[in-house]
Formats: sequence, structure tokens, C-alpha cells
Amino acid sequence: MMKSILAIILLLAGAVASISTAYADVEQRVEYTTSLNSMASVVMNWYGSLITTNKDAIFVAVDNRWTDYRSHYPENISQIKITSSDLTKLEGSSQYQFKVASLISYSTAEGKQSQIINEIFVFDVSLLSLPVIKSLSLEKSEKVAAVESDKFTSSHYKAREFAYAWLAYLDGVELAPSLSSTSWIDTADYTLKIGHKKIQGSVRSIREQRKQYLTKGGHLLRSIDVEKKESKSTLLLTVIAEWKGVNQSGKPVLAKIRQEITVRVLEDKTWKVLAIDEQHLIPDIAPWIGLLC
Amino acid sequence: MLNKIITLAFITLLLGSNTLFAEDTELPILSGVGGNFSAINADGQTIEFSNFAGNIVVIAFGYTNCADICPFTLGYLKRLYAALSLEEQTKTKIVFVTIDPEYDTPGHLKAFIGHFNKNFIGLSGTQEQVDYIVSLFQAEYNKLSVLNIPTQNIRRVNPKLFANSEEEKQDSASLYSHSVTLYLIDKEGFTRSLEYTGTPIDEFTAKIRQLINE
Repeated sequence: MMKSILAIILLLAGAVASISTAYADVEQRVEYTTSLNSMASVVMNWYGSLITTNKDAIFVAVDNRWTDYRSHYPENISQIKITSSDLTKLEGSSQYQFKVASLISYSTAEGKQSQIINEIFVFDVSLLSLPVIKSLSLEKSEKVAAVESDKFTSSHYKAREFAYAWLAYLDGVELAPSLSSTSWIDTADYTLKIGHKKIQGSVRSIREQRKQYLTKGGHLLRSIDVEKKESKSTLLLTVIAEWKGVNQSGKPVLAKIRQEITVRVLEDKTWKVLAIDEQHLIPDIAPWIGLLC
Repeated sequence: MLNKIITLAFITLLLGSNTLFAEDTELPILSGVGGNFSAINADGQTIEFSNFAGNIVVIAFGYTNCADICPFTLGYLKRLYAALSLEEQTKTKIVFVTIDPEYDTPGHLKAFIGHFNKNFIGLSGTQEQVDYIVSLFQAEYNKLSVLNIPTQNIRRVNPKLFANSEEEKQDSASLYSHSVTLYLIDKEGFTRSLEYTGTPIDEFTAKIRQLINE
């Protein structure tokens, strides 16, 4: 009798352990991805808004409290290349530290100049809310030989600011100001294809329905490609993201997500999303995936 | 005694948290890979893939005219199946979906598959059905003739006889390149792992057993 009770208790303990660990892993994933995406979006907005030469995108205004800090950047910035970044959670708090190293190109009366800037953003993050920059510190600022590039323009940062904010929103974080400015969330068509299932509807409705397959977990951005359509005011963004988490039955799920997002660039350079087409692809779990013989 | 039980339960709790959800043993659902479909079985009957619910399924794509990889894959699947116990075999279905339904009629497919194991299941269908299945599993196939790859010297499992050179030339259009992925599908129809003939048999059978025991 006692042995049976012992066996049952051991089984139950094992099951509780499994479930609690799986959920702990998922909770960790949710916290990491939502924090990363929403902070990365703010960082992209920060750098994008510093670029004033050949400005081809508009950004949300940065809080006035950082005006003094931003005065250490040079004027007439045309390019910013982020050369490295490192995100760490500060122990025993809800704060994250985002270390960013960048190479900034700008123009002066003497010609093109470049400068290396290493700085640390500290964010206050509460789950599913927009992150707030708590402090900023400049670690290094050094002039270097001028570097020419035409890749890291304001539109480069706009696309990334958008993608990170969008993925954070899909994971349940509140709508970032950059996404709500043109109210496209209420008007864009969202088509979701997962295997033989295809559903179509508004962004809010598909985001809800999507939760039955991708219930608790988080997106990580893998790549973003921007293509200008024939009409120069229309962009096609191809976003590839990875989602890991659990479905509504608590089973682990892995998704490689491809989204084609059609964006209309309005006269004031704000973005209005017209349509989102999402498809789940074969995850890149082995080098031979896609091999034909 | 109660203290012992609590201690053992606590140890199990700790062990469970370290081993049961280890990254390398987890088989996540691969979202969007696979799904339900209709096909024609070897008896010429229409079946739904959902009919296999409750079984573990391994799906391979290929065609009977295939020069190398399909016989090799089926030979591998034969060894994989043989490595399972009889009870595990009854719970595991090995499914071969042709990508050349024009040539691979249900009867033809049955005879070909039967060379490897009589329990293996060959599925065919209309071109449209086959293309749908291929797209569901995000597999791929191409006619070699379209790729301008010479095919006349490729050896075959089922050699064909040609009445004239024109017929032989036309035949080159019946050879394909195709995906080599083996899809491991759980009892609910979710794709849980992608394998290939390079996967060690014991590794693959361990995954099948894991899904059987879920």
C-alpha cells in the first residue's frame, strides 16, 4: 500500500517537475524576447532619429530629458553602423543593460568624418509594457578615419525599429507609438498560413487566433529585407523570425516565420501597413534541410 | 516514512527539472510543416492523412523510377522499421508519397514498396493532390529534363525498355530531383522532427519511441 502511494507521489512529482520546468523555460523565453524586441525597437528609433542627412524616414521624438546627452553626437550624421551590441539583465531588478558600439559617419566643412561611440543604455522593463530608458552613459568616443557606406541610413533603422516593435506587439507587448500613428492596426489585412490552415482577418483578430498555435513564447528577428515596389511609395518588407514556446496544449513548438508586409509610405514619411502575409516555413534545424537528390 | 516520501519526491522534482526537458531530447512541433491531406492508397482508395491519427508516421517523398536515393531511403527505412519491436511496428506507419503519380499508379507503387516491406504504405493521387502534399510538407521536386541534366546513363531499379530513340529521349522527362527529408509525425499529426538517411538508426528509433510513449 505504502509502495503504491510512494510510486504515485513520485510520478506526480515528476510530472509537476516537468510542467513547472517547461513553463519556467517558456516564461524565461517570453521575458527575454519581449524585452529584447521592445528595447531593440527603442534603440533603433534612437539611432534612426540621429540621422539627419538624406533623411528618408520619420521617427518618434525622443524624450526631452535626453537632449543634453544627445548633444555629444556630431551633427549632419548620414550613416550609423552598429558594430556590436550586448544585452544583459541586471541582477535583482527589472532593468536591462544594452551596450552598443557604433560607427557614426557625418559631414563637416572639412569633409566626411567618422567616429566610434560606445554607450550603455539602461532600460526599466516591465513585462508587456513599453520599456523606458532609465540612464545612458558614454563609454568611449573616438574619431577615426572616414568610412563611406550607403547601407545604414535612416530607412535601415526605420525598418528595424518597425520589425522589433511589431514582433513585440505580436508577443503581447503594448502597441508602440510608431505602430499606432496611422491606425493601420485597425485596417490592414492579415493572412496567416500554417500548414493546411489559412485564416484571414484584421490584425487584432489574427493575433488572437494565432495564439491557439503559438500560445506562449516569443519571436526573435532573424532577418529583414526591404524592397521598393514600382510605386516608390510602397515597400515590401520580408521579415524572417523564429518563434519558440508552447501551444495551447502546453506542447513545445518551433516556428520559422516568414512575413511579407506591404507598407505605404505616406507623404509625411510615416508608415501605413496595408497587408501582412505570414507563412510558417521549415525551421533551419539541420544543414541538409532543403537538399535535393 | 512520510519524511522519506517527501525527500524522494523532492529528489524526483529536482531530477525531473534537469533531465525531462533537456534541450536535446525535446521534439517540438514544427509549426506549419505538414497537415491533413487526401491521397490514393495502394488499393486505389482515397484516404485522409488524418486516418493515421494515433500512429507515429514517417513520411518520405520519392518515385519508383528514382535512380539512387529512393531505393537507398527505402532500404534505410526498412532497417529503421526492423529495429523497432513488433509492438512498436504496429504503432508506426512508414509512408512513401510518390512525386510522379503519372507513372506510379497505386498498383505499381504497391509492387515497388513491397520489395522493401509489405507494411510500408505507398501513396499516390492526382498531380494536384501530390503537389498539395509536397507543398504542405514544404518539400520540393524538379524534373531533371527541365534542369537540362542528362539522364540517359542513370541506372534504375526498374529498367525500362524503349521501342525507339525518341521514346528514350522522352523518358528523360520522367526523372526527378527531390527532397530527401524524412518527416517524423506524432499521434496527433504534428511534424516533430526532420531526419534523413544520415540519422543513426538508434537515434531515429529513440525519437519514434519517445513519440509512442507520449
